Amino acid sequence: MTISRRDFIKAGLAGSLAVGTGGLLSACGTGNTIKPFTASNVGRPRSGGQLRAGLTGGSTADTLSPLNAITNVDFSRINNLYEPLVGLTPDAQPLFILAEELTPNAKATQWTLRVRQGITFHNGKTLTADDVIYTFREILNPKAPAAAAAGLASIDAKGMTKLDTYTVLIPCTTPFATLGEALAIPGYSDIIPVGFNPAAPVGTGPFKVRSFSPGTQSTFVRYDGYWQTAPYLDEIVITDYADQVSQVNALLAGQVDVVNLLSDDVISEVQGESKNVLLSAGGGWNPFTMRVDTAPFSDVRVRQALRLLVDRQQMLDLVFGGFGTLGNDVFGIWAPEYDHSLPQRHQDIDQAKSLLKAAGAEDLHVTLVTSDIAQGTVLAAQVFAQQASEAGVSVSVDDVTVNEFYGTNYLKWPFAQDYWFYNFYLPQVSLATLPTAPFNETHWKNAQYDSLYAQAIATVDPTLRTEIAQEMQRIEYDQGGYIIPFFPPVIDGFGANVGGLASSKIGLSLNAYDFRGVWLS
Amino acid sequence: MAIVTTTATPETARELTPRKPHPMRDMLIKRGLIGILTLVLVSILVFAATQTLPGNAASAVLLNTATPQRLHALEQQLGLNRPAVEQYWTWLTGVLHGNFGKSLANGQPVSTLVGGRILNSLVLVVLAGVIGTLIGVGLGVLAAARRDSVFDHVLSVVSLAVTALPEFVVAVVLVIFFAAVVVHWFPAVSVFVPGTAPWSNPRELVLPVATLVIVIVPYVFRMMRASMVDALESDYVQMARLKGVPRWRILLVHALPNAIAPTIQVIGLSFLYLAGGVVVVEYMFNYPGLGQALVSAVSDRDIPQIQAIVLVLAAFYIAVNILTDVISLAVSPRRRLPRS
Amino acid sequence: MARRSEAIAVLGRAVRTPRGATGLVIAGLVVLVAVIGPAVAPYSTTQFVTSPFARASSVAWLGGDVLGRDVLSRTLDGGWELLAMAAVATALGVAVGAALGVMAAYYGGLWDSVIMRAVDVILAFPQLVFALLLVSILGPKIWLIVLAVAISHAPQVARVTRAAALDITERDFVKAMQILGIPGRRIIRKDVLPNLTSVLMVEIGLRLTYSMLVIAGLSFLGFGLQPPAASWGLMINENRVGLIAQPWGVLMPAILIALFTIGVNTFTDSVARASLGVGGRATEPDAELALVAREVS
Repeated sequence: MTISRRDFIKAGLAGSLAVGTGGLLSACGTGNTIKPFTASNVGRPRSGGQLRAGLTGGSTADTLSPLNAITNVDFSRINNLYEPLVGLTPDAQPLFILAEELTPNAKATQWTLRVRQGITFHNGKTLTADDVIYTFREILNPKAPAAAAAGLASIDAKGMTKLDTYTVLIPCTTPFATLGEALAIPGYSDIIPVGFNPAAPVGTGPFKVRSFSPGTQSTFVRYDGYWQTAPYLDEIVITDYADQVSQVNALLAGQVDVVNLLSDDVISEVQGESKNVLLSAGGGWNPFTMRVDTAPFSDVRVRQALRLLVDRQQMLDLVFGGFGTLGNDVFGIWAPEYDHSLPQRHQDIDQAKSLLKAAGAEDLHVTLVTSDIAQGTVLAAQVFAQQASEAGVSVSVDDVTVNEFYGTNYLKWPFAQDYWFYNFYLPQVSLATLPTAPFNETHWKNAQYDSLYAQAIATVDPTLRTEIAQEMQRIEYDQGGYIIPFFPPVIDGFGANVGGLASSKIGLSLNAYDFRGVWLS
Repeated sequence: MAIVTTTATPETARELTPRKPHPMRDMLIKRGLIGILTLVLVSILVFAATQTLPGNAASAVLLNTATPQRLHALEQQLGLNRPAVEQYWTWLTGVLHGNFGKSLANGQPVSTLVGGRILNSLVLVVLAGVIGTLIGVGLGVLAAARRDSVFDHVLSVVSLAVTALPEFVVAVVLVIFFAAVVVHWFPAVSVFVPGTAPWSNPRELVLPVATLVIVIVPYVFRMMRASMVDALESDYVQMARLKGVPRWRILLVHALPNAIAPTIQVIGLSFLYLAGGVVVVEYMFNYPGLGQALVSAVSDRDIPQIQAIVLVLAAFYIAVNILTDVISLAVSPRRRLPRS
Repeated sequence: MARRSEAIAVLGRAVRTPRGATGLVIAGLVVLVAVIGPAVAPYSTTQFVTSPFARASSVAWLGGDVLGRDVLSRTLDGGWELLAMAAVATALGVAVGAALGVMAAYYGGLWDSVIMRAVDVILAFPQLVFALLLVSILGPKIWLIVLAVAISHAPQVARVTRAAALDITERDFVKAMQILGIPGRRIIRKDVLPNLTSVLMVEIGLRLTYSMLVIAGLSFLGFGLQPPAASWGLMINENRVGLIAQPWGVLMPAILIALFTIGVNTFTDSVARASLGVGGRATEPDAELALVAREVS
């Protein structure tokens, strides 16, 4: 079936987007009566100005290349310099950006892609099919694969051919019905021109680079040849901050206009000084990962017991002030196939205890490896340990450095946590829950699940695909190695003079750093 | 030196005249050589330590996107799969040519990355050191002149308490008072435009420097006071008093020059302490200096950067030590304290 | 034998001075809180008793911390580990440093050069940076922190003891014993070391203060004890984000650390004065000079 414009929302440029966030974001149970802003409407849009962003999460490994964008802050630059073939709406659904049409064949082994005409890169060069082919060959370069390579492994980049100036034929080595969804993930289809030079990067995005000092600061200026409506801002300055306290201090002192990734604890402080807070229900997730091939987690009753002893609402309350979304041990919450009918799991200590007893694991001792890999991870680990003690499970928390966590033992920890950016359901499966998946941290291997996946990935009809996907989710819900207690919120701060920000479910701050519709009054 | 007593032939005549002693020059040469040796040893030690790290620069960069292929590709690109000795040797020979290598995290030349940071930290250290010294010396002289007065006692007690305070406590208190809660006179963090001089926005320097000044003033003060008291009791000064020399002259002209020598040592030590103390201050105020750079370089396993920063710190230490001893030596011949 | 009671005499004198008494009492109070604290804490350190950063209330007398745990209970429980680590690091550092310093002074020659060169290498680092490097490389394990801090103390202690020991080893009676053939170890044990007791006492006091500051500083930077440990340094770091809303989570541990270090420093100051006064050799200004010189380095 052709994915056409009718099926996707064409998002207007942000101006007064008040994306509904619904009851998912109520801060219940903590006595926190602050109601954060969910969108900003400040005066009228006005051209000009320099937006100063103070962002945490960067380091001296900051990059301007979309091939190696890894951290949150990398995306603040990438999302403004480049554009993908397919992007995400604020509701985290796919949306054509540079692409105009994307059609599979019946077996999902070949796609035809057409890009829009009249789009130029910052150096004036026109976007053509050659650039698309070049980009994918760079991403999937076997000698130096990009971060996105793992999720696009089915694409046969060498075999890509040009049908005409703007049309590309994409052959796939295995059926890949979800190519469109996969391309929508940030960093997966940002198009770079042929002969791209990372030292002097150009893209088709609304801003171009003026200076770049990794780990410290980068500045961008408006690209007047942008193919969509030009942004209001003249300039963006992104400064790396070491931690949240400095960020908040800077925001309150008026030294920056927007900050990212705040914790709920500072909301009252920020609002008390008449700055504003932008709240989004993120799509990223921090699971607890259990290796299903290692005792005691190899017993499904132990896994289910551990899932049952989590008081998910309390964890949200303590770690995120009650903001965020409850999780149900299945990933991909905003994906169209996500099965919202699965009964929401709650804490059930009695059931947990009886399961443990049946498994002969009554006085369970486990070690949980945690690390400061994302906001709230270490705090969540401590909450888990305390909650587990009520069921007689003693959890000793081992907080290791980020480097050690991602070092030689990464993906081998028997019981740990992890952090994932938002992804759709089947693409995430290909990354993490297949025996061949590159990041199979739970060492999950289920024959029925695998054959369902093989069917789903070759099914072009979305309705049929959804049915199969929901069967897979059922298996994970009953037997999987993930404990997914919540989907964390994204809390950002901004000054009183900033307009045009919108909350989004994508899980990247500041509406995935979409500064096109932002203005300064 | 030996005095040769053989009958001289013209060729040996030169040996008859004993060499003039150059204690300063000799010391400088000896200490300089030892310093260089120390630097080399330090760099070897640090390099060896980095080889024992769990994870390497590649995994530090790739984080959770690390697949075996990506790791391997990056390691090759960074030259991390060469034998350790070869890596060290390449680095060492590079340094001897003034090339400190490229950062493993982002490929930029280490000398540019670290150079800017050095200047930033140096500004903090120099400002705090100079201001702290001046305040400490001034207070010390005053307290010695009014020995056993209320002023003196209060200062002594306060300085004893302040020396024991952790630096981050001082920083937090200053931020609460002057930046965030009580008044908003100064920014609580520095927002740096890389490439501009640190002194281009003096308001941002006030709190970091103030923290460091508060930390070192007590040491300088106590030393200055103690040696001033000592100098004021010397016969030399008693003589001047009996002669009717005015008080301020006695203080500044007779006593102070003699009292300054031991304080030089303390001032030198204060500068050394600042080199370390600057780490906490930079963290607290988000100041882009050497301390911050070291912490993130270690976290990134960026070996060339770690080596460069460590070398700079060690060289600073050695240089300050030598400088302190030189100044002490230069000043001390003038120290005359005949005691009964 | 005479020297041992000399040490006790010095301590006795120190305690009787106002400074000494005050310092001892303050430090002692903190130790008391740290030791008895865990037994009198109203809640466990991991229990969630209130909402995060809640203000002081009848439920939680000092309010809640970042996860809503009781600040009072965590403060009461968070001292003994820190104090123990500081004590062990100090003892280790002083023991090793003193041993090296005495050996360098007594045996002289090659021993002296090697030891002093090694000392110079380690001293080419600020103490905090050295510990920071080690810990951030190998991970914040308790034994590693203690070891790192101990190693950073040893060189300074070695220098001081070497200087003090040289004073003794150069004396005639030691040389006489050497000529008589008495083994070096015995001379060191019976004649050199006992004369160093007051020097060592002051060093222990000074180093204890620094141990506490460095370990707390490491925790503040995020390199100390890791959660869910209740430790004063860690509490300062993890509660820093809520400083404006609820300062007790940061202030209480900071106050206790500060009181301890101030108390120890003050007491050490009085011990040093008392010891330098013993023997009646030095004048007061001289004593003050020597004392401050030791304290600063």
